[in-house]
Amino acid sequence: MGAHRCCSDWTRSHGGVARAGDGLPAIEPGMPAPAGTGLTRRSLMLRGAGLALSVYGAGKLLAPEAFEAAIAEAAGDHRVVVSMFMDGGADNFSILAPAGHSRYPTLRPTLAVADDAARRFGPDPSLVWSPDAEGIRQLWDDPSCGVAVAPAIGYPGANQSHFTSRHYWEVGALDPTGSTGWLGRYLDRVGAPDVPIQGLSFSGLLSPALATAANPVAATDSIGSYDFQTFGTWGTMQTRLRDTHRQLGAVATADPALAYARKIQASSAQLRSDLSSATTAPATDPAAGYPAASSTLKSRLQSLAKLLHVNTSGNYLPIRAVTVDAAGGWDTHSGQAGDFARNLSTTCLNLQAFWNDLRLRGLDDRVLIVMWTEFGRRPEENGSQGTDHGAAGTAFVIGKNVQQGMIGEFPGLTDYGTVGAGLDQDGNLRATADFRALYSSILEQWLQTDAAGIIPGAGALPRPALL
Amino acid sequence: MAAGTTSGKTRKKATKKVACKKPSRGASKKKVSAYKKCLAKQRQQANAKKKQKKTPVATTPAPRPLSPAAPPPTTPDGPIPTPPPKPPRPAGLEVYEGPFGTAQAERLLWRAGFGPKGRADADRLAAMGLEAAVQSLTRPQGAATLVGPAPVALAPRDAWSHDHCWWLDRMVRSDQQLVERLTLVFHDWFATSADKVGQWLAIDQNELLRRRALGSFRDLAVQLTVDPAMLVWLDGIENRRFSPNENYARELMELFTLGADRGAYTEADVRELARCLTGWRADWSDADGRLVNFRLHANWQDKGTKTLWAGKAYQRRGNFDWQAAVDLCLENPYHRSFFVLKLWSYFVPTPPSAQTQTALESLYEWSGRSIADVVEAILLHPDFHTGPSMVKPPAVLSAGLLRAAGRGVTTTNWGWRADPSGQRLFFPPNVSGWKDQSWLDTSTHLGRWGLVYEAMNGVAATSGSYSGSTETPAEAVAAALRFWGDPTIGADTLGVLRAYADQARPSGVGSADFRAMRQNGLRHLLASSPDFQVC
Repeated sequence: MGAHRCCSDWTRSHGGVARAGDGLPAIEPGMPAPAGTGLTRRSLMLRGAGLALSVYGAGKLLAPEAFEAAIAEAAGDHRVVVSMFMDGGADNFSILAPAGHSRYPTLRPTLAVADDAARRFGPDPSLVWSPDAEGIRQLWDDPSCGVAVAPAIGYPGANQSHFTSRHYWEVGALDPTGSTGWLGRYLDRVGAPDVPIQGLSFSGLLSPALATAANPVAATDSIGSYDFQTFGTWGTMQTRLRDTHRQLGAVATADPALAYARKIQASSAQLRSDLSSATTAPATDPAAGYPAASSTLKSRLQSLAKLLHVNTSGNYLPIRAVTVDAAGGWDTHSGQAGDFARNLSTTCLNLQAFWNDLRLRGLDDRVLIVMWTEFGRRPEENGSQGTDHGAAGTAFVIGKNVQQGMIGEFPGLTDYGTVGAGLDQDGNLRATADFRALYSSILEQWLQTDAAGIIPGAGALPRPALL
Repeated sequence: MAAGTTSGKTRKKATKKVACKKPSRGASKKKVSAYKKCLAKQRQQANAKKKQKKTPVATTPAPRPLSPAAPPPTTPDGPIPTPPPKPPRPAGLEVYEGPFGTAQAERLLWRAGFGPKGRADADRLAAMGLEAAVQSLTRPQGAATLVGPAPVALAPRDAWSHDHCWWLDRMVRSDQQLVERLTLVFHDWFATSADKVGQWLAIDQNELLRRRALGSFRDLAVQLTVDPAMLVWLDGIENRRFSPNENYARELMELFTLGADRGAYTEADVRELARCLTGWRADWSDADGRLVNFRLHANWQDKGTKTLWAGKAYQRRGNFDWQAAVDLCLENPYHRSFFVLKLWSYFVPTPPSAQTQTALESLYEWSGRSIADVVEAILLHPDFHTGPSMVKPPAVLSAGLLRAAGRGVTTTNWGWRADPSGQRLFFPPNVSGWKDQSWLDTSTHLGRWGLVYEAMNGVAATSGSYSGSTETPAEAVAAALRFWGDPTIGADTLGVLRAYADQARPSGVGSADFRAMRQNGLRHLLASSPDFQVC
């Protein structure tokens, strides 16, 4: 437990920023120069809001009036990681199904995916793509991108609580008390103290994977309607309302919950400003082939592609890490077949369309997608035409230059106690890859920053080659 | 029959524990069977004893005195023999002794209810003094009354989002604010979503939570285990002896009674507890369009021997059923710390000291697992009154805005306003409830702005309606404060609002328009301000 109702460490005060008005802060200790850009880090004050803005600028100190331009200059062309979460523990045995293993039909009397030579998985033909995973199977066949598949990913001592296991994946460590996310620690290292859009949850709630100790991050459900308006108010009075709203977020306090509420208010004001550029940017949406059916995932991925495309004076918005939930819930204890097929199909088809969207916009070399779930399910189905919590699960990494292939291997379905057993003592799939090693590879090979200091114990983890 | 003989003996010697001789390995089936029956008898006896013990607690009427010194009841046949004296109420619980004024009363009303109905309400509570103020919340008399403007017509069991509006109305109007607040606490604790169970069963469960909110936690946990909504939500009706479904067993231990990752139970315990919980079923009714007739079906029950907490000093073996499953969890030594820490966390943002935690655990056991007793001690504790502030949950803010403005649930817009704010009642995100430590982010911040909009909707200032043609900036700020019942707001925040009000009328805006816009801006900024989000 330990759900104390406010202010865990990552909600710490924004006071450092408020105090920055005493003088322009230097590069903070431990903050590396931005990798590979040759830019120097500059800071300036935004007088009206009393906020300090740190940007990566090319030498000249920007005037406070150039706030939007400064944000744009902070952008450069950051590489972006998109983390897509299948919430609830997706049934790995129904995505890449071990149809070539003789025990599979016995373990899955009602839920087995039928073998089909046309859908066998190249690197391990004992595995077969579910017909509902068609979108991702086609991405696998698509020469314009690489797909890496981890068919049995997890960690030592698999925890079968949704909340604990998900927490491990979110914080990037086997630490039940961790309070910052792995992407949050990345943003604390390379991000800026006043650019909330650098870490963006496409959701009504911020993903804990993005929780930072210091730098602001953002969440939004949509990009078209983010504004603070009230009754009958327009023109100068609307501008005053927004300015005052921003100022209320800059008042200092020693109370942690109040400080956090103010930090969020300041971040919200900034996010409004950033998103307004997305809605005014002229951009024709390419025909990316999204499924006709409307879904939350579809509208979020469409918005994300649009947002990544916003370009002001040659600069993209300073987005670095994005989280989004896959379609539906994946905790299929009973009556699994219908919901699961629908969710898998919706997720994979929209993912495929999102990739096309990025490619057609010329953004595919900026984005890497990692799709994951907190655990796989038990190989043996239960009596409710469903499956209970298991151990190792499936993850996918998708990107233009990702090395096509497997991360780890499928360990088979032989019982615990036999040589090379695929199952553990609880009858669950044994992990052949560690998610923390995958994260380390993403950080080092894609985001070009050292995993040490972000992933605890990274030094001892053998990195899979992703790129 | 051996069983009959045993039964006759126990009737005579009701107090003597039945001794069961464990048969040796490989003993005849008959001996083993007799042993099992004997064990069952032991259990029956133990349960009967438990019931005896529990009775005085369960029937003690509210309000209860702080020390249990009620005179023994009498019967026509003479006085009932005095029960063994109950041990004294556990010591070691501090009580806040500082000033108890408007600000303290506001915090109490926001955390143990849904905020004051304006300054007069907070001052009324402050005048009572701390102990009476707390007891007015923890020891309500009789049934709750709904006071205030009636809501728009609602069909909570049928119409989309009316469930949310229906409960919001109770939060706004109930004169038993803590009962309503604890109903919300337990809705989060035993989080069940109407997304899976439907509105009908969800409302039934809500009424169960409300009835049991101040009672014994054992009763609550037992009743919820076989509550139809819960039986659907965590697949209790899919859990049969031929094919156990672990869903409820796991969450009963992990989220409801023991907690994950503290060594309280193992994966083997999840499987064994699932076996205890087998046997519930229901029928689909086309006429009602939902599941009905929830019942225990003996043939689906696993009647074999289960072993819980294997290898621990408190290991238990027996033919446990669903009710025993709940008791096994509540008697697990990890339960009481789980209970008091979780309950505490809903009211105080910092963890209790080890001494306070121990004292609360003793109080919990001493009181027969009384929720009211533990909540009362928490509300009286210095940490509650002197510690840092907490973020108001969105549903609490919604109800509190309406209470502050003296308004009711006059629109079902509250239904669609709820999700963006981060809390739609009856739709927790998953079985672990809402993530209360992360109510605030840029998305829910905009959602809260929308809640304030809705609380102003229909009564916003217009150039025609808003008087105050000679209103000064200071008067405009005061009027906005008055609109929200004069809450306590920090001087820094008031300074920023005053600077906003001080700005001159822009050219091109008429003076009446200007004052209305300024007033709406002040009201909106005030109630959405960080100061108003915490308590």
